[in-house]
Amino acid sequence: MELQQFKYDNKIVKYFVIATVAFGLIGMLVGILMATQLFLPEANLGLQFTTFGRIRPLHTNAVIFAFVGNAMFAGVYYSMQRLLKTRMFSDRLSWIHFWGWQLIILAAVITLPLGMSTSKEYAELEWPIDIAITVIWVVFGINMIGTILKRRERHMYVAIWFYIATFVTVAVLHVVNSFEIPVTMFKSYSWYAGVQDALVQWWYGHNAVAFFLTTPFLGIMYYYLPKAANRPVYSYKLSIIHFWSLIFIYIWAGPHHLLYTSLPNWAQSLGTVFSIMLIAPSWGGMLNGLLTLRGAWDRVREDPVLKFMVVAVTAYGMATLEGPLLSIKNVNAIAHFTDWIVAHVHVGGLGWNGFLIFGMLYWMIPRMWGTKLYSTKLANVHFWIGTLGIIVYALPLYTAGVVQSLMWKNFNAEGFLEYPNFLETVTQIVPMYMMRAVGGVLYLTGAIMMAYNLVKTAKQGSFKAEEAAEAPALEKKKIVGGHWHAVLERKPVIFTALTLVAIVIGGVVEMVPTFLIKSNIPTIESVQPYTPLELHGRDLYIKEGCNNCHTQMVRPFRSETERYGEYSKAGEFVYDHPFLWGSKRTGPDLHRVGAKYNNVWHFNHMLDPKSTSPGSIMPPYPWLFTQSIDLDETAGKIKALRTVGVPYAEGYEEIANEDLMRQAKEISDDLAANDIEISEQAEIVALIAYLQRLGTDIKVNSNDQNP
Amino acid sequence: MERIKSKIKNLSSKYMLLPFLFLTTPLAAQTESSTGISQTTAFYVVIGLLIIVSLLVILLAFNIVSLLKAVVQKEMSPEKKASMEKEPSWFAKTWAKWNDLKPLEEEQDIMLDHDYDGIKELDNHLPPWWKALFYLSIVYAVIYLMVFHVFKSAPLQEEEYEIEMALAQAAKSNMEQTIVVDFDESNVPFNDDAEALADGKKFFEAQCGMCHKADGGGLAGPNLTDDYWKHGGSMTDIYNVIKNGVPNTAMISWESKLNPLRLQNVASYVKSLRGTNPPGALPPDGELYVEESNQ
Repeated sequence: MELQQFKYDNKIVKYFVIATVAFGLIGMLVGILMATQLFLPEANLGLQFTTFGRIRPLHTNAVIFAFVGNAMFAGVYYSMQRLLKTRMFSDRLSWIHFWGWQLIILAAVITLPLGMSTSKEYAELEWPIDIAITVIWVVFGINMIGTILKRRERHMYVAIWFYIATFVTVAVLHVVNSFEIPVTMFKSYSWYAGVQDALVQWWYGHNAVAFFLTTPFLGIMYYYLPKAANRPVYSYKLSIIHFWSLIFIYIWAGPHHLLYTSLPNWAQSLGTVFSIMLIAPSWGGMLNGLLTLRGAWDRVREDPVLKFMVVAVTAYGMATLEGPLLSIKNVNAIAHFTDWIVAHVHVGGLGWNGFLIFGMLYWMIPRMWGTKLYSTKLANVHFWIGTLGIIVYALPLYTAGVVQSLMWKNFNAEGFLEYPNFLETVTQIVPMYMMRAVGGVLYLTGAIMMAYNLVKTAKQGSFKAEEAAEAPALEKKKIVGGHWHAVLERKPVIFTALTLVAIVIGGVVEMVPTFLIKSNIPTIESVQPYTPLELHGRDLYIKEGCNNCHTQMVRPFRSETERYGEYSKAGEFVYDHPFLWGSKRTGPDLHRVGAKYNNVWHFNHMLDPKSTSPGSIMPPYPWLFTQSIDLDETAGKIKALRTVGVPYAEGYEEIANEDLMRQAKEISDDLAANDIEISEQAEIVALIAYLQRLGTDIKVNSNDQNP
Repeated sequence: MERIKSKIKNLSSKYMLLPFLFLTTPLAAQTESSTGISQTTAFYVVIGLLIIVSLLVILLAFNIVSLLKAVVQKEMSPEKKASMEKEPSWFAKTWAKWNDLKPLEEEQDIMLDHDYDGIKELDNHLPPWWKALFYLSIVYAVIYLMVFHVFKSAPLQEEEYEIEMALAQAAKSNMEQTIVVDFDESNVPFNDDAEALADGKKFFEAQCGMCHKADGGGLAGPNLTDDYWKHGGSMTDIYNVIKNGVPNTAMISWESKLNPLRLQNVASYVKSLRGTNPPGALPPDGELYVEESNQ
């Protein structure tokens, strides 16, 4: 057989590596800025663009899609060429992929601080960017499948299976979750409402973790770990079993983000049991990684690459055990909405993704530049400071989560809430927030050391943009028999199709009944669509990212109904496009805040939260008092919502602004009666209208004065 | 007697929180006032503590054993020592057995003919404990779904809530039997007892202060320190407003949150604010109330 000569494209990998490091540092820096605002609200620099609610999505998008995303592409482009013994399918597609992805990130960096957000977590980017993501993702997919098709290796290695699953699933998740009706160029409403929107969102959110942060990195682990350890992969059988079980089961587990909410019980139970069944498949990956190191543990002590990888794989194991445990109802009742969850995701993010990326970079850069690592010692320091950073980050937040949750639930002997003022439970954990920020600074310090080390390494070597390689071409011959899975491994199209089937089943079983069977969301007669002014207010709530700190979901616990009022019902959210249940209670729940305080209170509170709530860590929102809502957008909003099923009468958009002005005048008159002068079109008026409406529909005609 | 009981409860709840206390000094000051955490919470905290302690005990045991071993080995003859060292440790043996590990020397037997960019693959068995874990989790899933959705033998969240509320109601009515007061909103007297006023103050600053400002000078709610009142300024009027709230305003009813004695304490404290003239107080609102001499 004649050997064919070809070249690996290292240049594209280099570019993705540079983007990884640059966006990693930026994303972490934004994280520290946010972490600081949690104990020093003034750290928002007094600007709306750098206030917590707007930069939280910036942080999550930057670290997930820019840092981890670029690292994924770097890892995939490097390993895939070598595992398939071929250059990437098309250089042109590689570069469209690279620059397209960076443009998307740039768009995110611009739009998110401006408040252009859909509010759906990890999918905040607005519809034009969603379309761009779809296009670029398809480019990546074509490039990947094309490379597989022109491979010189008969069978696909386990890393490639994971890359295929990543491409297929992320495509499905992104498209389904991004169904939205555009209102303006940078504003849209989710196609789904309330409970259904929540289900779709957390099916997406959970599986973004699964198929953007987990499966590609398992693939990366399967390439770089045996390479760095120079050991054979522990068990081929384990690879097969844990790959298929992982991708099949993962997709079902989304509802565990919605335990004790208005999601139907049966869907919640599916979320719980599939999470439990996910422990073994996840640990299969960890075991195959750790056991591959058998006989190489003495090297782990010296080699920073292996050290990073060992901690990464261990963190993966810890996070994937903790996740299922958090999906058990009793544990979830305590942990949900608290900082425990923030700690949990950061063990995964900083430990698994971060450390695996660091290990990969320390291994890959010296090879691509044909040299040795500039300083192994500095890499070791990075390892220890990074590990310390994770611990200092996570431990205070675990403590904060448990302490705050116990305080929320604490009843005194007389049967009353021991801490009726939510603020008390916040001031208690502020010291933990400070420690967490220190942890973040330590972790970032390590990353800066790495950046320096890598630049120095590159400087002392010389970059090989084109790396020559040779391999025999695949013969066009029919091969029969072999292990049943080996058969699949040489049929990439069938493999991809089977992957698609495996990941679609769970979503379909959970979503279709929730959408079609009426009894899942019992109708409540008194629930009405939002008024035009309230709609504007709701969009401001989304723009400012209030949902990043406030939930709108009173869970059926005595401690919550005593504190907030009647627990939330599925039927109350039927006109909520998108749903705004939130996932974290840095501040109190707001679902029953309507009519609880008067307009003046809200006015003062938004202008200076500390004036009404001394010690509050909420930032002031002075810009809401000077900026005005755009009345020209009202008609578009009404029309868009009618398209997705909100029963506004035909032609209502023509007269909606009259209703809007009437309601705005009522509020500004009420404020004027208290000597507060404010323009009727000021944003604050709309926001107050929305807040006063929240959760009041089922209180109509009842003189129930419970808050 | 009641006091002692609550003291004990206070104490025990403090110990429940012990694992967190050392991490959170500010909490220590706070728990002084806490009088108990729910049974379930206590249960989980205790279980968590037990697990931590047992882990520590196991760790300690391992250390002691290895220490003993070192001491014993010191006494041994060199030949015996060598034979001991050949023997893999108990842990290594168990580890190998549980994972069904093939000795590293025999690795070639299970090496597959795979070679991906130099990466080889072994054909090790699935670790037996891992398989067991997987099967167990599937069994758990089936039982879970059966219990909640087929046999319906465990409460779903709505029912769970009803149960929790019923228990609280029962406990409350028990409690209320012990608090017998001889007043209601028509005749509640002002209580000038220092302890009662301090209790009222504490509650006022934490709760009422959100709308009326901690010093009562008024914020979103009216000034409570002057002689002008929207709903009357007598002790009974104030008590009535706090207890029953004012419909269609932000002034909610506190009846379900405070027992009559504490309601009286808060009302007394509000009453005592008259004439304090705090800085930045809101202007008068409502009607002038003139104290009747006999009240």
